Amino acid sequence: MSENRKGSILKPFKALKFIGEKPVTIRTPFENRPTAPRYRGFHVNDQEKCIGCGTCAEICDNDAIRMIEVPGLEPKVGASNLRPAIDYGRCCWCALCVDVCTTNSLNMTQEYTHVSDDLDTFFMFPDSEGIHKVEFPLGYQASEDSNFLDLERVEMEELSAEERGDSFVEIVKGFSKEQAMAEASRCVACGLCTDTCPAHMNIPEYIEAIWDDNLSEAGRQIYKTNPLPEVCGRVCTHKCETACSIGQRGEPIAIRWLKRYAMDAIPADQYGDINNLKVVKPLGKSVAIVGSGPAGLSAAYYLRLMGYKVVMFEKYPEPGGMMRYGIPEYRLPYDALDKDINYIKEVGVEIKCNTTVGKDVNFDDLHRDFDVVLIATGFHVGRSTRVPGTDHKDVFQAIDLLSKITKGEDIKVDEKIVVIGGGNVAMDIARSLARKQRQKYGKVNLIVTSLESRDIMPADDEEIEEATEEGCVFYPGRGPVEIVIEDGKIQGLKTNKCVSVFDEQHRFSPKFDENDIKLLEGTMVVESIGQGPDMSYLGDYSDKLEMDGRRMKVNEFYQTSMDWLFIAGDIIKGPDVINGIAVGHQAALGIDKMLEKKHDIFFHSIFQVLSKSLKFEENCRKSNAKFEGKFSPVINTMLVEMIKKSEDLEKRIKRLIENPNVLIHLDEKLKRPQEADYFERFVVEETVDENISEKDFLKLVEKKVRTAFGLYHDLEKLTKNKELEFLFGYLKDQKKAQLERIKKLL
Amino acid sequence: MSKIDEVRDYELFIGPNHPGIAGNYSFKMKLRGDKVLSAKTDAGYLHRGFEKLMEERLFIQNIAIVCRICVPDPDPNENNYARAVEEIAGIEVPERAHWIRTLVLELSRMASHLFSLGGHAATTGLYVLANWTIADRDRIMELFEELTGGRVYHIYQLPGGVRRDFPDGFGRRVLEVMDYIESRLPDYDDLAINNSLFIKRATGIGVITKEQAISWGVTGPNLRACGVAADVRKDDPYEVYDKLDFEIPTMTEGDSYARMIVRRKELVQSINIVRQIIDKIPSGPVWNKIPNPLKWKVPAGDAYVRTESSKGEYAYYMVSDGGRKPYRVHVRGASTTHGVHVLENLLAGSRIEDASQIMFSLDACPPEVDR
Ligand SMILES: Cc1cc2nc3c(=O)[nH]c(=O)nc-3n(C[C@H](O)[C@H](O)[C@H](O)COP(=O)(O)OP(=O)(O)OC[C@H]3O[C@@H](n4cnc5c(N)ncnc54)[C@H](O)[C@@H]3O)c2cc1C
Ligand code: SF4
Ligand code: SF4
Repeated sequence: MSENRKGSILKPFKALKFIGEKPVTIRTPFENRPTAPRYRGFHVNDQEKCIGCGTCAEICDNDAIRMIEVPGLEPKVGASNLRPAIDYGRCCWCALCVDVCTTNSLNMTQEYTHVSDDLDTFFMFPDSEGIHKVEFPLGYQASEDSNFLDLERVEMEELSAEERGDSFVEIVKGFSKEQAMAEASRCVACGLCTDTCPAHMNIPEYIEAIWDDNLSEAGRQIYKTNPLPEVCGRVCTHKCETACSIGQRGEPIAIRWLKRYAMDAIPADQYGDINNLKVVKPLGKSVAIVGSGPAGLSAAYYLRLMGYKVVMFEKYPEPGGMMRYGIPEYRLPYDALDKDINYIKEVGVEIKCNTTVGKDVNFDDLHRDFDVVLIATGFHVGRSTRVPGTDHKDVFQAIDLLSKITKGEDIKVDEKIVVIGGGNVAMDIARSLARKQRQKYGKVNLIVTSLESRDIMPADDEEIEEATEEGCVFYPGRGPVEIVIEDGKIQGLKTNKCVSVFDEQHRFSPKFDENDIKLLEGTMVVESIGQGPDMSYLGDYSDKLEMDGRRMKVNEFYQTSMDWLFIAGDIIKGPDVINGIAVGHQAALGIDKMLEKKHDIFFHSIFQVLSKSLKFEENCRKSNAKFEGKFSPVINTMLVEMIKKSEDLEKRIKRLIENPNVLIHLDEKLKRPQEADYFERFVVEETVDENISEKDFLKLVEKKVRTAFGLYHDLEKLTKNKELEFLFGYLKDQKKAQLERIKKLL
Repeated sequence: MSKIDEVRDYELFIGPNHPGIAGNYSFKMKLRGDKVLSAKTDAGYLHRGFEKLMEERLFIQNIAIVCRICVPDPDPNENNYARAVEEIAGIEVPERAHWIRTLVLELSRMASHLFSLGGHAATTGLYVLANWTIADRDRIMELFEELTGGRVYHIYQLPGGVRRDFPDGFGRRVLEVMDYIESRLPDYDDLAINNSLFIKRATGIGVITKEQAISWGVTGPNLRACGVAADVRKDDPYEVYDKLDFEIPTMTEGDSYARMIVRRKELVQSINIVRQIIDKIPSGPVWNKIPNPLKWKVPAGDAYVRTESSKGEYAYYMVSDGGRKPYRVHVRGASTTHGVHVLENLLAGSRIEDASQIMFSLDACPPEVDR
């Protein structure tokens, strides 16, 4: 190197030594240069492993991924029928999608050449065979060390076995704010949980709100589809967590505990404000609901919001059904249940307790006095094994004992008890009795036996484990033969080994080994092998109702063949609280539909939503136009501007409806029809009194604009289509601006 | 102005595709004959609004954007971005990741210097050096490909560390490439640097005096060619530069040739640094996990971080309002100074045939200007 700048004219000729070298750049014939093993080339996606959660599309910084519906692929629990397609005109090969993939199904290969003058071919649908169906080695791959997701749950604190063994105090302590926010931060907002939840709760939305520490929003989202969130936040069967995409490789989000956290944190007196509830239209129609379990309460709540008078009839002293008289207090404390129910009462639902339909009130009277009757009376008759000895006075039904415990009545608690049953109800009674035994005798001596062997016992694993910790002893895989009684006193339960529970067609048909006999000692036996309904109150009607097999025939709104009679809860579709809530809500919508005699109240596609919103805007404009020039100049200016704005909004909506590119996505099913339904109520054309005062007029306009704001806000969040998101976002912003203006004037 | 001047004075538009100009850059020059009277630069051909884009994207998504702010030397962007987030959010980076990042930064510097050496020579008509250095730079691209999966854009450093550890045998191959590049330097010297034609063409061209350099805010090799030994790696060490032994080469003439020599010497220093890294790098994890990036909120705060890029002092100022996206990211690279103010000053009074060389010798990167 020549720092003194004395160069040579000859030195460059040294380069001649390379004259015979092979050039580095020209390769003939053309061949792909092999890449490094970590190369970020075209994607591959294992379609079987992929669950269509869309997290890749969410993280893609170039919007290169679009989730497309795969023809013939059925959505199932924890997997949608969408799969990612990639626009390589946009992709920048950053591989963020690979590092965030919930299943590790999405990876990259070492393939990097695609030549075509047809631009459409750059939009590709990667599967495991590669984009050109030519095998290339894998390139950049998912790695456990560099994965973006948080796979571990925030641990939930619980009472230890010693602390809880003799008390009915709630076991699960609940999340603190910090814990809840940390747990919420793990969610990728894919919505697979929503698909699986029977009530299609807005789970990602409320988790997001918890993460944003916006509890009112969380509460509002929760109440849209579930008026018993304190209950569900504790005892829900949480099918959603089975579906959670984080559960693919890690521990699913603790959705249930998050819901509980949000509702525990919101004081009861704020529920009304949060939900911004106004009864939409007092309709002068009434609905009788028999049974105040979750199904009845859910229907009552939503019907009441729609403007119906609702009266509930409940045979027990307090409302709640199995939530109060079945589920033990250590899992669901009464004050949590009461918080939910009190709010339902607060919105104006009337509950008549200690009133048995069929005894205190005639079913016929209900039919006569109310426009619609909804029955949701649950399963309250325990089934018996009917083995010899079950008629002895010391043989009990689990649910009878549980309800007595709730009522605070004295129950028999012997030193040695045998419980028959392997489900969750058996666990509830066993663990309740174990607590009573410990209180009375200082120790537990309780045997639980079930036909099913341990691996196929229907009870939740945690229940079995916790029951064991609390002192219950399990004898699974044994069938009861008889209750051995000597001198009128029970000695125990004689059992045979159960060889198999189901036959080849998976029908219940237990087989026993009669040589394998065992006596399970106890002086008191509790049966917990299932419950059935008691619908004797129906009287003659039961003969008139059309049946579908053993169940009543119903339509999608749980309306029976007698159009004034609806049915909900365990007696039509169980077996848990959340199904009761979902069916109750659906029945409420059906009742509304019937009473309003509306056609087509359910519009399911976004296309229909758009049409409705177009109509809504038109109506607002027309109604405003009628009052042009009638009020003070300030208001008049505002009206004129609003009319102009409406025209603009209508144009925008129309443009989108008519845009063929967007239209393709418009027939996407709207996941939550209830959102749309809510919207529907405001589309009805209303006649405004010509002589309305300026103030009342303003209030009316404000109400409409506020509703529209709320709806567009929700719709913006609901859609995954960018154009629609933009439109709804824009509409929302416009409404917000109008709202602020009106508020100032008011 | 006389009649004759009017005839001889003309305007010339160069770029944005002029072969002598790095990427999408253009000049509008006023000339009198061969003499440049004044020049106006326009870097706006690559306008993508990086800074604005970043405000609209999640913190994680920006790691795929920042590298694009300087194509030949992308890694200081990644480094600045990651360090700014780390500073605001208080994220620790594992020791090994610090070493790997330093390695990546030095490899990137070398790749960029090779690019610029060749490009510089090409502006004097010596295209063979460009062919050589760009082919040799490819060896570094191959190392990047192995380590990060990408050749040009690495999208590799992220808050908390780096995305992947070394593949097997990587250190050995890095050393091989260093040996190779070291062996090539004498060839470069013979072909261009010691070539009396090139010396003649580059001497006294685009001279920046030490005083001018300081008052104009020149940094990097351009400043060091004026005799000022300033370098962020020494003055405000980041990553593991304080654990490494290296020198800051300087020249005093401040002309185009001096700038070439400084870059040529820096290649040697970088080779030296890379060898030390491969020798001393500790084992351990390479990334401290950040929260789920889709929900990740970086606490409110701001950070000013800087690196020494191949172009000079390169800084990011980031503000977070506590949300999921940065509130503001301000990118300030040396190219804004070198590619606009300095260049316009140097061009005025120069000759048209030297314009490209002046620009190339300043090694400015257009997207860094218009970010
Ligand atoms: C012990 C036990 C534990 C359970 N644990 C869980 C759990 O952890 N999670 C979960 O999701 N589900 C659980 N379940 C199931 C869940 O409680 C039921 O699926 C749910 O309560 C059914 O709701 P429902 O509205 O259909 O009826 P119910 O809750 O059974 O309510 C029916 C109501 O109707 C009343 N009624 C009946 N007949 C008449 C009449 N003639 N006149 C007036 N009123 C009448 C009853 O008194 C009762 O209050 C459990 C069930 C039991 C038995
Ligand atoms: S590699 Fe990056 S840009 Fe390409 S599809 Fe994946 S996330 Fe999007
Ligand atoms: S809770 Fe799980 S399934 Fe539901 S949106 Fe979040 S990540 Fe997806």
